[in-house]
Amino acid sequence: MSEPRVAARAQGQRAHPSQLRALGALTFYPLQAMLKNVSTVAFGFLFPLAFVLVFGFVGGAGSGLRIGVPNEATRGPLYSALAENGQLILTTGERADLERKLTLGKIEALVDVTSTGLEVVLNSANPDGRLAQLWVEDAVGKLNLAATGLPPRYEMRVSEVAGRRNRYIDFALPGQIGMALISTAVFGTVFGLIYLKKSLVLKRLFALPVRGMTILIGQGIARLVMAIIQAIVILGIGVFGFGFQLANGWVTFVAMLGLCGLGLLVFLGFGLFIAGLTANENAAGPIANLVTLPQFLLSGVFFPTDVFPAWLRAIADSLPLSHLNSAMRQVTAEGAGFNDVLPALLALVVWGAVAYVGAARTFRWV
Amino acid sequence: MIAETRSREAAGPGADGDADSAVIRVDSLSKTFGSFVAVDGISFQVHRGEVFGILGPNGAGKTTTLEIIETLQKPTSGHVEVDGIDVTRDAWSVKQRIGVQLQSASFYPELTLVQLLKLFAAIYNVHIDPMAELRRFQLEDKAGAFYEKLSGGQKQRFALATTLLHRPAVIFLDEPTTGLDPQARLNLWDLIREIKADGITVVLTTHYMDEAEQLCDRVAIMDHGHIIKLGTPHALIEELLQTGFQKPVVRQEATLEDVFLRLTGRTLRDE
Repeated sequence: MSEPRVAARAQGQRAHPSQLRALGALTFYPLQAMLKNVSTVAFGFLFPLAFVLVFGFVGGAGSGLRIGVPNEATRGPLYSALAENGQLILTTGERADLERKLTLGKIEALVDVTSTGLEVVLNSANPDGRLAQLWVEDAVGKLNLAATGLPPRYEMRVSEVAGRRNRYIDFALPGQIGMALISTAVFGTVFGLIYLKKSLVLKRLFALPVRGMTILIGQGIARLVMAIIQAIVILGIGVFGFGFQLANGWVTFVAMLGLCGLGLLVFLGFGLFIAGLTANENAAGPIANLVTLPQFLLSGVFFPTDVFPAWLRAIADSLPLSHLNSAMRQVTAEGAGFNDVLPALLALVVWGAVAYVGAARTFRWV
Repeated sequence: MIAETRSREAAGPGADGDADSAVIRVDSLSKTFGSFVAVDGISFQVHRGEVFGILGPNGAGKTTTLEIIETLQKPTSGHVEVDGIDVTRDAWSVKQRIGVQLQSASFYPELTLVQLLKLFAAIYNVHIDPMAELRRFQLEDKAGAFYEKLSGGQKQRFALATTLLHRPAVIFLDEPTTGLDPQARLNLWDLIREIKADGITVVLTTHYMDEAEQLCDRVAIMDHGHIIKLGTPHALIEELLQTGFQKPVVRQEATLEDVFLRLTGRTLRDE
C-alpha cells in the first residue's frame, strides 16, 4: 500500500477532533462581523444611547413652581413671604396677561391681593397648581398666626432621611437595556440566520467538518459578548453621564450583567424560533416586529405598566421583557438580590423554554 | 500536527497507483424529492488523481449527485464511498478529506479574505499562512477586501483556495467558470491543472463542452437522473464518429475566442 492512503487513514483516525478551535473561530469571527454590521450597531448602541440621552435631559428639567402676581399686589408681608420661598418663582405683570399665562400652563398659580385677603386662581388642568396652593396657604397660615401673637399650639418638625432620588433616568435606563437586548437578539438572529441561509454561507459551512450546534453556539456566544458590551456602554453612560444609580455599586453592576446574559439567552430563543418559522426576510420582518413592538410599548420600557387598565396590565406584566425590566429595576433601584427577583427570573426561563422548544421544532439548517 | 502535515504533503493522494484507484465509488445511487426522481440509480467511479466532469442540461441531477457525495444531502437509496468511507455512515470523516466549492455560495459579508481563510483553517484544524494561500491564487492585494466586492474570477479563485486548505483528497467544483470572462476562465483552467498536478482529484460540473474537453480526463453525461454516457472526451467523440456522424464542416482555422484573446491578451483583467 502506498503512502497517500496511509496519510489519509492517519487523518481519519482523528475523526472527531476537538471542536474547541472551531468553536473559538466561529465565535470570534462572527463577533467581528457583528461589530462591523451597521444595523447591529445602530439597534444595539446608537438607538438606546439616543433614548438614554433624551431621558437623561428630560429628567433633569426640574424647576420651581411659577406663581404670577399682578403688579398692584407686589407689596405687603404676603408678597415678601412668597418671594422669600425658594420653591417658588414669582412672575409679575398685568393681571390679564397672567391669566392668559395660567391657561397656557406657563405659570402654576395666580395670586392676587383683594380687600378681604387673597385670591388664588389655579388651572384645573395643571396638577402642580395644588402644590403652589399649599405654599401660599403655608405663608398665609404663618402670617395669621403671627397676627394673633400666640405661640404655635402644634410644632411640626420635618427631618430628612438619606435616600435616593427616583428620577426618570433611573426608570428609563434599565428599560433601554432591555430594549437593546431584545432588538439585537431577535432582529440580529432572525436576519443574520436568514442571510446566512439564503446566501448559502451555512451550506458552505456544512461542507466543513463542523457541527451545526457548534455554529449556533458560536453565534450565541458572540451575541452574548455583544450584549454584555452594550450593557456596559449604556450603564457607563448612564452612571457617569446622568448619575444613574446602582444601588450596591459594583455588586449591582455585576448582577445587571448576569441579568442581561439571561435575558439575551431567552431572546435568542425567540430569534431562532422566528428564523425557523420563516424562510425569507419578507415574512420574518413582520413576525419579528410582532414579537418585539408590543414589548417595547407594554413592557415598561418607556413608562411603567401601572398606567394601564388592570386587564392590559395583566397581559403586559406577563411578557418576557416585562419580567426582565422589572428584575433589572429591582436590582438597580432597590439593590435586590437574585433571590428577590426569583419569580421574574423563573418566568423568563419559562418563556425561554417555550421559545427553544418552538425553535427546535421549526428550525431547519438549509 | 507537523508530522501529519508533512506526511500529507510528501505524498499527494493522487500518487496511488494500485488497482484500487477509485477515490469515489457511487453504486445504484437514487434521490427522490416526493414523487420527483432527481437521481435514478446511477453508478460510477472517479479515479484517484483525475479531473472528472459531470455534464448535463439543467435539472439532469448533477448538483444533487455532487451534494450527496459532498455529504450535504442524504441519498434515498444506494451506496456512496469517498476515499473508502461511506458518506452516510461517516459523513464527518468524509468532510475532512474533501473540499467543496458550491455554485453561488457566499461567505460572511463582513469578514475580509484573510479572516475567512483563518476561520476555515480553524474549522479544519490546520495551520496556514493566509497570505501564502492568497498569493497562490493571485489575490494577495485583496487580503483586506470583502468577498462580495470581488470580481467573478476572483470569487471563484477565492472559493477554490478555501477548498484546498486542508490538503483534501478530492475537491468538488460546481460550474466554476460560469459567468467568467475568457481570461478568467483560462486562468481558472490553469489553476485546476495545477491542482491536478498536485495529486488532488477534481470533480467538476460545467455547461461548457470545450472546457470539459480541455480539462477532464473522463466525463459522465447525465440526463433525467441517469448517466447516459461515461468515458474520456476523446473516446466519446470517436464513438460518435463511428456511428457515421458528420458535422457540416466549415473549416475554421481560428475561433472568435482566439480573436478576442489575441486582441485583449491572456492576462487577468478582473482587478
